[in-house]
Amino acid sequence: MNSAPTTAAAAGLIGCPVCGLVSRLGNAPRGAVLRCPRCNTHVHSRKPNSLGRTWALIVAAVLCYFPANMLPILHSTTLGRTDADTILSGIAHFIEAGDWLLAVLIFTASVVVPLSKLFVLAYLLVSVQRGTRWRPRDRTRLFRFVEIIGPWSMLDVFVVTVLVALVKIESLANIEPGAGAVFFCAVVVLTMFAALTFDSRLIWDATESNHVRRTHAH
Amino acid sequence: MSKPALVACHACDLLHVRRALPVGAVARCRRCDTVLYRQRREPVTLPLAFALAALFAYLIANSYPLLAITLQGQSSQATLIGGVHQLLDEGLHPVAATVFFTAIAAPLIQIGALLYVLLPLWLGRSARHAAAVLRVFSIVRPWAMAEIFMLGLLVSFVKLSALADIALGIGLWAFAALIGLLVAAESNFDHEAVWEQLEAQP
Repeated sequence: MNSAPTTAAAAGLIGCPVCGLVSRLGNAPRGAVLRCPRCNTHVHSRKPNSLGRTWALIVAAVLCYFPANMLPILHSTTLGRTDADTILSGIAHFIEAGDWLLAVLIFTASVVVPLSKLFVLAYLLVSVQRGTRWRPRDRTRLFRFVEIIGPWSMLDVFVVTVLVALVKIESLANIEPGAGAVFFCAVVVLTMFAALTFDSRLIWDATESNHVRRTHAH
Repeated sequence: MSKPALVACHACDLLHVRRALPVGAVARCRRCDTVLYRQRREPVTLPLAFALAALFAYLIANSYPLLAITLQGQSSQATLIGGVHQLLDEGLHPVAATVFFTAIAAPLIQIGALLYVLLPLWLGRSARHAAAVLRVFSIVRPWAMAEIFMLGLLVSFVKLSALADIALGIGLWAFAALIGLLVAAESNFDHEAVWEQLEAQP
């Protein structure tokens, strides 16, 4: 091994995302399906069409984000009176009741996490498309961070599930889910897929010399 | 394979030569600091034991009520599958499917996959289709959200405690145990070590 840092792609190798085995690409034609010789998983030097797919998922998530916040996620009936709550009005109720901890928790999970995930992914896509060489290590960390926090935005969907299942006392109290929950759930699932289709190796490809970069064009 | 074992960083693709590590040590990528691999104490026995315990916790968590409320003498209780059922009844099929997959199916698939691969290995054999099962395990992993569901239970508990008498059910305690055991099973599981052992089997 030479001491200069080399990427798997530059050396004509691919690391398997499942079993970790590093194997040789061979002279497979472009677009051929490559499989890990040890565990038979589909392997790609870079995730196929990562930028286009991630952009598409982000746009879809943004489109769902509006109805997710405008439509009610819960309809609660207590003694004949029905209230409809959106995500934000639910948070406002917690604040009114003095439940600051819950207000902060739900606000973080339902507003801060999905929005920061969308902004960070969009920023990373733009930075890759512009070939930015600026602080790749921190951009990789940023990606890992949104990947880890992403699933926590499912919190409100789970709260709705529990409330709907639990508060079923015929004439006294009844909670039903609203259409906002469907869109919010879609936002979470779409941003999860967006993080899965983004390939952080692209952040590093831009930092390498042009010569190396040309060899991993595909 | 006689060549030195190489490791490609999954986050930045940099190649490294694999070195033997002391137990408990972590190897990180030179360039982007992502964890490359760890040296686990018992990569088969420990995750197998935790997965087996997690299976029992899972069965209890899914059979007993998680929370129960009482309001003016009338009561109601919620189980995990009951919540999904209620969402289906209300016509929210996509939400019901997502909750079912992330809170019910994914943890069971993870436990099942670990038991399926590790139990034969512990007995000195290798499971059929272990490769396919481990691939499913990797695909499902980001979608398993038991710990987030647990937080959802606690939020619901606090929210309702102001309005009604609410009690924690046996299912909730089992669910908490399930999360701890699943994390323990996963963090002791080592894909690379398991693959080496699978390859060494006849």
